[in-house]
Amino acid sequence: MQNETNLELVRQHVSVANGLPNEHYIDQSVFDEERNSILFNQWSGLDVCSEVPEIGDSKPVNFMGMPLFIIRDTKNIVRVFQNTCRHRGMILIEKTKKIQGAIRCPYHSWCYSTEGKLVSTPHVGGPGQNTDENIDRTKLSLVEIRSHVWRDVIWINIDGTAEPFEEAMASTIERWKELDQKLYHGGEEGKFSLKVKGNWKLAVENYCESYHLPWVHPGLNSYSRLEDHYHIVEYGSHSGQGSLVYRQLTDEKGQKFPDFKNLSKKWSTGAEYIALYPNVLLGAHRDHAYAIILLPLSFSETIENVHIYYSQPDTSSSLKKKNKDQWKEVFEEDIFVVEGMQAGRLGIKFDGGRFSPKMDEPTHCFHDWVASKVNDFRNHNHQKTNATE
Amino acid sequence: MPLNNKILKAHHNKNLSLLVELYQEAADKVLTRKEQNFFRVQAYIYALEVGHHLAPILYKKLVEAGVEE
Repeated sequence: MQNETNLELVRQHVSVANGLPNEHYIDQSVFDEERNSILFNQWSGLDVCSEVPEIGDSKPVNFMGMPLFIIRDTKNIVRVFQNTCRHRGMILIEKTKKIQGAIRCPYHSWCYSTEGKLVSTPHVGGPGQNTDENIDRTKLSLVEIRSHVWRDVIWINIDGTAEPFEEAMASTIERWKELDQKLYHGGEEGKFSLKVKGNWKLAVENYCESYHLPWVHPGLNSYSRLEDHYHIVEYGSHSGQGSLVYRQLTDEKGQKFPDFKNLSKKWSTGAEYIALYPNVLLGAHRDHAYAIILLPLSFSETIENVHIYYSQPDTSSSLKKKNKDQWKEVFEEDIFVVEGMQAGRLGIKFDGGRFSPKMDEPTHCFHDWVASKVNDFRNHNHQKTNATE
Repeated sequence: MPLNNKILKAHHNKNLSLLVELYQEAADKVLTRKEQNFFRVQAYIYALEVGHHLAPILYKKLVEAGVEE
């Protein structure tokens, strides 16, 4: 990057702060810097375990240009690997498939176990000879990516430097401790994807504040009014919004989804929506939950993968469909906002914007987190540079 | 159909379990140890991939032949 963006104003108090500069949304070099400073070195959401429900199931996922795959190994553990053969760098898994035995590279057929161990290297020592004194299989396992599963989401820390997940996410885990129950994915009626022409951070920013509800979601606002919401602000960790008036969905027979067990009274009519930095948006209710994983395709394109969960495995599929359709409508209503803010940032005189001190603190909280992590990364790099000079 | 053609057809159809059997058959037919190892390796690798029941047997034979670890 030619010049580092100035983040001093971003880190001011919300009453005087500006938002992140335009470059954080429209500049390839800043996108690349953020990859290393706020995605690869933190716990980022990649996918969900329900995408690989059975032993041997595997799925390739591209994360910020990095080819990865997830797999459920023979011991029922979900693992994440770099999707690259240790031999010639060939992509190992091109599409979602069941690994019945070993992962065989389609190029020269080096084979790996579902635990990532290199188990055979055919003809490596010449025709019919699978060994060579210079090929130490124990040093050529697949590169495993540090991962952790919470609320079915597979979180990854690519550079391996983040503190343990339970410590990094301690405040959110504690906040939703009573919700830490078995989640049942809604299956085909419990997932959908949206492609948005906007920077991934704009989806976070829009998600974590309720200020826009009366204007962008008038239907939602008719029962869940702006004044029925509260901010969730945990600087350095997460932000979002809570609602005091969650109404359960019912079908034509008056049936509802079963509740999660032993919830406190707060959840009878409450709901919470948290952006867990950097890229996972979570929702929780008495009878269902969801996770949205934001996968940046470029600085101006994002995939939103939505997964909805229930407290029981065999809930009504028509009710699940109704719930999915309802959420899809809400999230689709947000698309023009994310795309509009992306387009607006091409205005070279936009200064990052001013926040409403009363209404925008969850958004400011996220900007502050981004700025602090980027600053830490820059400072660390500067120190390294100075040490080598 | 000659064995070679059967192998090509199984490759074309991506019938990996059949390839295990055909390459093993090829290994049993050739004359030299080197050729036998080659075809047995082919059979073994596809057996590994599909979790074929012959994989451990082929592995044992390859280890005994000194070509697998």
